[in-house]
Amino acid sequence: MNTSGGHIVLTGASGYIGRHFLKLALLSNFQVTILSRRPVAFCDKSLTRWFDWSLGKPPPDEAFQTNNTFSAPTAIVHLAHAWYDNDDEQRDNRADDINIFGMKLLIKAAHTHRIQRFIFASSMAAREDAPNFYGRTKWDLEQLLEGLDEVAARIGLVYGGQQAGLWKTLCTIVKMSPLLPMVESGRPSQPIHVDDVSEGLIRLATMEKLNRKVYRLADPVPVPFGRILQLIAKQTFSRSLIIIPISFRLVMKLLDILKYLPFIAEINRERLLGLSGILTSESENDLEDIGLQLRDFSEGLSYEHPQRRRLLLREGRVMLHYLTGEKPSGGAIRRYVRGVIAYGDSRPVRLPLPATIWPPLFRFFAPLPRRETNKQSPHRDTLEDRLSIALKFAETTTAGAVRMYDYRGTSKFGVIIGLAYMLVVEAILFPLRIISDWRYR
Amino acid sequence: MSKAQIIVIGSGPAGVSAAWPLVEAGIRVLMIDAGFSALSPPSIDRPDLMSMRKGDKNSWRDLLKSDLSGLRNASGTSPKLRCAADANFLQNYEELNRLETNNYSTFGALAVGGLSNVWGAAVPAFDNTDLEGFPFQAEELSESYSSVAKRIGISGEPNDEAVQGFKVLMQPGIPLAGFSSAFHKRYQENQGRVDFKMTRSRLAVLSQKLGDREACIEDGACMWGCTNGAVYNSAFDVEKLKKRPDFKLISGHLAESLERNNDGEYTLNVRDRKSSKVSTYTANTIVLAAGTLPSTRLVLALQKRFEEDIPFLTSPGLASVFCMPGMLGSPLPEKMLGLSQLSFRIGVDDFARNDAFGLLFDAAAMPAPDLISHMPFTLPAGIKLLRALLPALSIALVYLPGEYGRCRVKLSRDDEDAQSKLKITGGYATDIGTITDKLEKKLAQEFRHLGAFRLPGATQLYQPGAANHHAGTLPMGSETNSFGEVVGFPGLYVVDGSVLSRLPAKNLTFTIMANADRIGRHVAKKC
Repeated sequence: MNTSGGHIVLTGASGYIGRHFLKLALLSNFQVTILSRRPVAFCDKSLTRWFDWSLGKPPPDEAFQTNNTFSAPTAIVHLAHAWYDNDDEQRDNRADDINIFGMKLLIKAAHTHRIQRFIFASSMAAREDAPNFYGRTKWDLEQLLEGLDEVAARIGLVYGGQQAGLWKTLCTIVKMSPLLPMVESGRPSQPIHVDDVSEGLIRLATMEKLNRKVYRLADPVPVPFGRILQLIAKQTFSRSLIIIPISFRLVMKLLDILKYLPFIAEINRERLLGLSGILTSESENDLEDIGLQLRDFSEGLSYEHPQRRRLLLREGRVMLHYLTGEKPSGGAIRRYVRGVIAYGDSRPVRLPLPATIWPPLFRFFAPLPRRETNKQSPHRDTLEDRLSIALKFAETTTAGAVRMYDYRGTSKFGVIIGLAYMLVVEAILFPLRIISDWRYR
Repeated sequence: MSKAQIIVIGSGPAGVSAAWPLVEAGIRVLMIDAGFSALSPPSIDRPDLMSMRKGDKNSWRDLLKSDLSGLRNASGTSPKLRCAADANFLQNYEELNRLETNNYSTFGALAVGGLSNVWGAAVPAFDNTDLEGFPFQAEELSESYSSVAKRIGISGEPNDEAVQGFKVLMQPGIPLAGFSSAFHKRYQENQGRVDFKMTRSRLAVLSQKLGDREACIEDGACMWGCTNGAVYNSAFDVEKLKKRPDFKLISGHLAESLERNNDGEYTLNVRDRKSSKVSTYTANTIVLAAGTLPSTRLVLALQKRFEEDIPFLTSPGLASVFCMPGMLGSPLPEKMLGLSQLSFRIGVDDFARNDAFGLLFDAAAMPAPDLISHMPFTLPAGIKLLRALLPALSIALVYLPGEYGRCRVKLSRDDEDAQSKLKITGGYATDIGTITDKLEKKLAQEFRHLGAFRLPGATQLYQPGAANHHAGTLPMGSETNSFGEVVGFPGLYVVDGSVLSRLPAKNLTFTIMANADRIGRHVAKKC
């Protein structure tokens, strides 16, 4: 087993970033010691080990010790963060904060076991005067990093991968409705893909020399928050989203009033404050320093999705039903998805809504033939591309094959009547297709 | 560094045809090929086309392959490239051979056997008119035609010389089926037209067992590859050659450059495609059979002819679709050959040497999706229409002689790594539109006479290069002598399409093979 990557002690492995980081670390041949409340599912005993621990407790000594399979840890990556259920729990006396003394204990353990590299997952919101508690806490935590090799990674708005954490919330929001009233929609934010975060953290854990105390892991080009949601809607879910801006002050006022009314769903003030407190900062040099190239946000989004598969399955079901005239089998639909991932752009295409309800209606929306495909991008599949893939699958199904090939023969009269009927239907459909072609292209 | 008596570069039809007479003469031959292996044929127990089209639970594996590589987009090329070839088959051909194209499509395969892994196996021979401009007597070639025909096994119709060129030894033709059968019958009843002559296609497909190769089983699924070796593939010959003690094959090694030292010895630099390591081989005699464009690059680089515009010959290719209304409603044939069953020759100009040559493919053996997607209807209507038309449809693939092409190659030096690149610029003669219009009209007229009608809007002129008939960069008689030996470079023989002095409209593989055999015999005598 090649374990040349090194050995990382990891907290927060079951969190959103943690899970992705763990996967990448294992793929990069790191050994990982996991400190968490519950064991994380892992496959290879020579690469991972788990110790029961929760933030605020001193970490067990064995976690840092070597044995037959595990070498001495080279870095601690601290991703765990304790969240509070409501505002009241957030003390003014921050010294009592479990995040702070928990991290102190970790740093102490690192010193005891001579692990120099300590990477703390901070946030782009970390500021001494951040309007929300979270931002202020992260700032305080950063101040604990005193050693030469103890650094903070200020992470931007993380998206992508498994739907969890804030990414899950964003996905839920964009799917709720095509109209979204929103405060501070113009506030810029700096996104980063969860796999890029993981890559960045691994680089921080392994780089020979770190030149900075704080590394910003976030897209150097800020995107307005409302635009971020619109892009997620469009690229990930093929939906359109209209943002209706609302005044921030008005909402805070309303919240003040609502607080006194019973039976109203709790609205998280902390989150809203967090939103208003985001400031963008220069991250380009930090990224360059560790040689990390981020994927383009808009492009990154379109490869995302747990949702993607569901949409692709629906696409396969609709297209195969449309072409073969019968409900396709599960196997045929799954093969369609496999084919689109292997030989298409692997993203769902936008289907005409009526066709998703009753696939034969697709005919009203069938794209018009074109001499030249005016593709927006050579990497994006059009409806025609997908229909062409579906057609090849249709040939392999019983219903499709019977529709395509006649090994029994038909009377000439039957053929002529059939073709005449077909031409009449096509002629009636044509004007409708012109309209939908304009609409769905 | 190792030394062989003769190095043959390329394992395609030209390479093996030149290698056979050398090996037979007891000469040690080292063959170097960029391919790792030949394309693996479909399983011998693959069901026939009719069964595959019953929508059986597993027919997707046969039609699209387990890795679904049959989904690749093959528009503008033969559906065979998506159905029979695997996903990697045509990959990297241009990059690795350092070809750069402009308005020209190249395709080639870095596989043992080259493109003969997927070819249509049409093997017309040239005739005296076709050979005008070649610097040798036609008889010289006819002997080689015969010996190649004997080796690869050809089937066809007797007395077909008017269309198919020199007479060669042939097995009986594979039974005609579907459109071709009906159309051939009509032709025989209505003969007498001067400018249009049709016979069954001469094919490198066995109708009788030959050696260890079985006869064609007419399962109709030729587009998805031949299961039993009835269709010739030069990789078969490579296997046979490998059994000879004097022959050695080095596969997965790409010829990068040639050098010649003062003693007249050639050094060949070869890159291992797996490890990227470069090794060298030396020999006094090199036989180049890498394919027209790669061979041209190697020779021009050796000659250091940078930035020189060199014309070469390309056959414009045209596809047209015909329907025989009398066949509408007939059942699709249960047994048939899925390659071209009929070939024809049609006059377009006043000179016989400008005749066009065409092959007819029954649409019944083609994958319907590739035909449906060209129709201007919704797909369900297209499916319905094609189902009705399929038994009555034929696709004519017509080639014009190389004189109608206007293509050039130029060797450019890449400053960065001092490696050269072959830049190919494609084009057709300015009057190509007039010629193809004339050809289309004439075709339509001839076919109408035989009861088949041209489908409107279905005629398509291929992009230069897409018909893959190109030749004549180093023509015998000028750049090379009558045995393909490069002028000023004794011992360097080119045996592939690059040395053809003229490019008639016919499929040229058989002639390339015969010429390579001829040159091989000559080299064997000299050694």
